[in-house]
Amino acid sequence: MNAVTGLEEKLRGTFRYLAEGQPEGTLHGALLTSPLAHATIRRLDVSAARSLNGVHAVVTAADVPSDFLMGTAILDRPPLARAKVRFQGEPIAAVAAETKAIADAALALIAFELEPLPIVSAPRDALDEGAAKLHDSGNLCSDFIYSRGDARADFEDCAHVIDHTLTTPRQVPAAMELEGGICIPSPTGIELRAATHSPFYTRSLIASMLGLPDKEVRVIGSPIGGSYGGKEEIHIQPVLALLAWTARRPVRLVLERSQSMAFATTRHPFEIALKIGCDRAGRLLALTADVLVDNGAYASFGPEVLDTGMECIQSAYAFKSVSLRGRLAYTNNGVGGAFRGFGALQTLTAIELAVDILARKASIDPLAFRRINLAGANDPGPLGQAIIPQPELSKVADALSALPVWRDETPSQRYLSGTGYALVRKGEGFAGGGPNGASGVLALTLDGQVTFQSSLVEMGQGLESTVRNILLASFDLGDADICCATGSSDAGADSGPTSASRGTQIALRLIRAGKMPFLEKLYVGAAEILQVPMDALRLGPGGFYQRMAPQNKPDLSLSDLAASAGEIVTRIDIPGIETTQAGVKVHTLFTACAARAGVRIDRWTGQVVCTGLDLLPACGPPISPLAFHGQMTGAGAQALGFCLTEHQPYEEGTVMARNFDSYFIPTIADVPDINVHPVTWLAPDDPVGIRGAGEIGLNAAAPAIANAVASALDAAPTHLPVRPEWVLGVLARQGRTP
Amino acid sequence: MNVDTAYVRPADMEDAISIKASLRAAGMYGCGLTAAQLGWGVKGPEQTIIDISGLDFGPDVCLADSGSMVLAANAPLERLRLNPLISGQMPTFADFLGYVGSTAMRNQASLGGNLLWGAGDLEVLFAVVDAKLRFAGNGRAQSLGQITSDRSDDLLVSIIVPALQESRIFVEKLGHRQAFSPARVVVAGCVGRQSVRLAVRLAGNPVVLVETSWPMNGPLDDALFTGDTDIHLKTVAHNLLRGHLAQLAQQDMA
Amino acid sequence: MRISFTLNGEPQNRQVNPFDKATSILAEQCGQESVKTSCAIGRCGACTILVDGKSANACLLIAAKMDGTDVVTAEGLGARADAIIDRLRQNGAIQCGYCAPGLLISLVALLERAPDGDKLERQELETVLAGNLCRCSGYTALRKAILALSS
Ligand SMILES: Cc1cc2nc3c(=O)[nH]c(=O)nc-3n(C[C@H](O)[C@H](O)[C@H](O)COP(=O)(O)OP(=O)(O)OC[C@H]3O[C@@H](n4cnc5c(N)ncnc54)[C@H](O)[C@@H]3O)c2cc1C
Ligand code: FES
Ligand code: FES
Repeated sequence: MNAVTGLEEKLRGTFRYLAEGQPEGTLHGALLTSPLAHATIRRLDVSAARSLNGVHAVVTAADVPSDFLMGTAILDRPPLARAKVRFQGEPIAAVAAETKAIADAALALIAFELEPLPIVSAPRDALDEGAAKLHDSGNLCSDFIYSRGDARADFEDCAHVIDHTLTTPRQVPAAMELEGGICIPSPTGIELRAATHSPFYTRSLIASMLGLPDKEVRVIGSPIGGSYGGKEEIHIQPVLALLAWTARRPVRLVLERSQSMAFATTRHPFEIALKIGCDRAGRLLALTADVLVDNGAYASFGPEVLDTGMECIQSAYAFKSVSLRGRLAYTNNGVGGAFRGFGALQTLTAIELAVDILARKASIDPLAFRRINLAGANDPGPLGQAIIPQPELSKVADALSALPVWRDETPSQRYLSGTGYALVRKGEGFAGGGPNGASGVLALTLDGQVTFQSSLVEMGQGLESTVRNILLASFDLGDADICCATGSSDAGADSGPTSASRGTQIALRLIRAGKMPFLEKLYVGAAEILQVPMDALRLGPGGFYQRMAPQNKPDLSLSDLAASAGEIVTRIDIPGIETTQAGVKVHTLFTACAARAGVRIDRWTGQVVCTGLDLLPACGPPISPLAFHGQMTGAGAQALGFCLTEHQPYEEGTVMARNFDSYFIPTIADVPDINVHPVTWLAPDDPVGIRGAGEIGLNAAAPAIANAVASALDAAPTHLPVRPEWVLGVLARQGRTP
Repeated sequence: MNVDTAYVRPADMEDAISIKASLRAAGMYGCGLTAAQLGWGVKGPEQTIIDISGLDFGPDVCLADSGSMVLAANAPLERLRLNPLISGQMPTFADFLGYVGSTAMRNQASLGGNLLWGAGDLEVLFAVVDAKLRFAGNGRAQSLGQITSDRSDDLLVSIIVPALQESRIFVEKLGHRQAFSPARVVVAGCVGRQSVRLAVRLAGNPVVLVETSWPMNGPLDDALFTGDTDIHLKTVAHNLLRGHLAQLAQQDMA
Repeated sequence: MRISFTLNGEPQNRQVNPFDKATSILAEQCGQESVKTSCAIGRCGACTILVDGKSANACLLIAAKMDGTDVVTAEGLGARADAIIDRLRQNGAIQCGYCAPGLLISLVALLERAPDGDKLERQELETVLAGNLCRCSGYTALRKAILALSS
């Protein structure tokens, strides 16, 4: 069974992504972006550009309804800068023209004047009294406060207390496919082909911007050439739609890498200050956390990222008391957004580092220390909420301890080696309030295929092959009898976003919920046509068989059934698995994962190499094993980048890494073989039976790698990615310079 | 020659030289153009490109009786990496080529281009082995260090690596990741019976070459670590040289 | 200027600006959408093609240099790639697939170069593939697929 559909076409290059295969006569779209990070737009005159021959549309904020803003919890972002620019690379205007050369010429004809404003380049400065304000509401975008018990008192009872502060990188999703798409207008509406995780959400957003009824906007959101959360945020779709709607011609707009590096939403840099303590027996008593997040210029998913990060900051451990504070500050450093791991990656890495430091201080083996403190199977969730019980936590700890020992590196003058562990959990799906519910359709289509229709999207994670496997396991049908329709707003039902690791879970639950009512309809239809009672029939490969007579050809093929009975459709709606809690956003369904990493550190250069990585995800039995493994190994490589090579620096609002000659994602030579050891056991009465695989590998791998560095050096990293400079500094302080 | 195009492919070496002579500063030699195009805007180059990649400069690698090795200036780097004469004579060079760019880029980029574009990693290695560059114009062979200012006004034809006999060479690059990275530091050394040549390139600074006696007594020459760059890179270069030299010294003892 | 070259075996003759990039000639003029542009500066491998049998970055190749060459894109590999595709499929080595055509070109070039019976070393595989970035897969399944294929 394939891990992903279309593999051969992808390799041979005949597979079509959404920005490819443009219709005849498609115009070239191009963006004018801000060279400055923070400025008032004093003048913007596009008349000369508009009158250039071959130009069919020039759009600016003036072409967007003046109250139209984008965001999730907070609506603060215009699709084209309005009155002010807030980050370098923010789109100011866009053109659609016959050719690239004309489009470029038109951009050059746009006259604009920007009056610089003071640049807010660090989140700490952003929250200062006198800081320049990015938005009228001030620079505190959102905050998070939670406490349980009396941490201050419990620290008094601690035998060991440590504190540790970790700063995490601005990691860029950097999918190989750039943000872009094609938009094709009709007299009454548009078809928008551009990557999105939520076709229905994108549709209603674009429709409202253009003042069109939803049904006049068709959104095709997948296949996607890589996203990792980066294309979950609305990217250039509104600008593309505006151009096509204005020009009344198809338009293709694709960012260049240098534009993408400034424009794409990135992983938020967190500064996480932790203090934790345990008693003599190693039991964790208290945690205080102060977290400051660089949100960039617009809210995007920032508030949700902060909430998720804060919810996960206790990892999989039971602290007696906690006192948590998190703040999300607006700055002029690009825009932070959704990225696989979603805030939890940052806080989990910090807490797992802190736990190791404390374990070492208490002279307790780090694995034993984790066991002592593991949350109980039926404990409430980290913020006191009701959660689906997690008896698998102890199984994960067992599996981690049972990993075969690595062969020790031969000791050398030059290299130090270290091994690190992590055991984490993260909420799946969205926090209470959702969107957590979903809808889908099971249909027998006129061509005789049992089809699962949803608006979930395929981005290489193997959703389609997973759905096919679920269909095959649910219905006794052959490969040719089933079909999976994904990725667009054509689906009869909105399945919600394909994100937060929820895609597989949603597909499985939808099909499970729809199976009986759908089968019932099929049996009724078949019985009527064959004139036999329903219980004399059996659904098998190709169609319906009369139970008594063994035969290899169905008595009624699925296509004959469809031909006589018409399309048979069951619409399915499932509720979200969620709880709400006053004051904080909480998850109900959690996924656990452990990891072990090995590193080798070069004492001469300070360079760190990851030499091995084991991942132990507790996601139940993988439905599509190859796709599942792929999710884990891919996550491992991104964790490696987060820890060792990736960072987008800003200097005074200026983007420093504009392409892959200065932003370094791991190559094949950087990534060791990643071993995946699924912990398939979940509680027998688990209401879902599986967990999503999208993010959890990343969340465990990164802290394991960071801990491996800490163990090799006897010093926990304070900044990620680990810089060779820091490594050499540590060695020098320890007197271990070569 | 078609004068409307800013690109010409000379028929042979003489042709190339005469085109260059007639164009003077308005023409430049180019080979793979992988480095040259870094400097072009969207409009293309300001000078006419005289593409010498297809000219016959002799075999990629040629072993002279003296034991020295003659390398064709327009040989693509990947072909050199896979050349059995190089893996036999100078395996350090073959291995190091694996860290210069990527395979596809090495299929396009030439040795001459790497040595002349101004920041090539191979310059460091070729400095310590005292390679000589032979240009078409004067026929003389020059050391790398002697080529200054406008490096590419004359046509580079071949590179001669003198017989290394018993010398031991090392070269190492620190990048931003394990492979396919711009260099932060490159160091190289060539240890002969009585002398040692060491070279360092820190970030984008010029290569510094120092020669001293072997076995070494005393610290590394500070001159190696000059250049406008951060202290960390100097430490790395220092550590790498010291480390490699110590290993070689140990071998000598054994 | 006019250039002629063969593309996947078919002769081509085109009027081009000498400094246009092969990426735009191939993708836009010749309809070879397998030639992806992702970085446009030779740093990702998504545009890898074969030029006279050797892998090359189309984004670093100017149109003038295509004159007289034999160009093969992933779309033109045909049966040469069958065994590799099988192995990649069995191992689940490809996800979103955006890197895939470039990767396939590099793999075909590598495996056709290695003389019969020569075992491909892990280090050599990594050296040769370091220029093909894949953001999805973590390379583990890829490495396994190819090392097994060559042994
Ligand atoms: C993606 C990418 C990655 C890279 N990675 C590295 C790396 O890791 N390490 C590294 O060292 N470099 C790297 N480079 C830089 C560079 O492209 C190479 O060093 C390459 O070897 C240059 O060779 P070329 O034939 O393309 O030179 P060209 O670009 O053709 O020429 C470069 C210069 O040399 C002159 N020149 C070339 N040949 C001759 C000749 N025969 N006679 C006279 N003048 C001549 C030209 O006039 C020009 O000034 C990289 C470049 C790219 C695009
Ligand atoms: S597009 Fe050519 S290497 Fe990236
Ligand atoms: S499979 Fe997505 S980049 Fe390689």
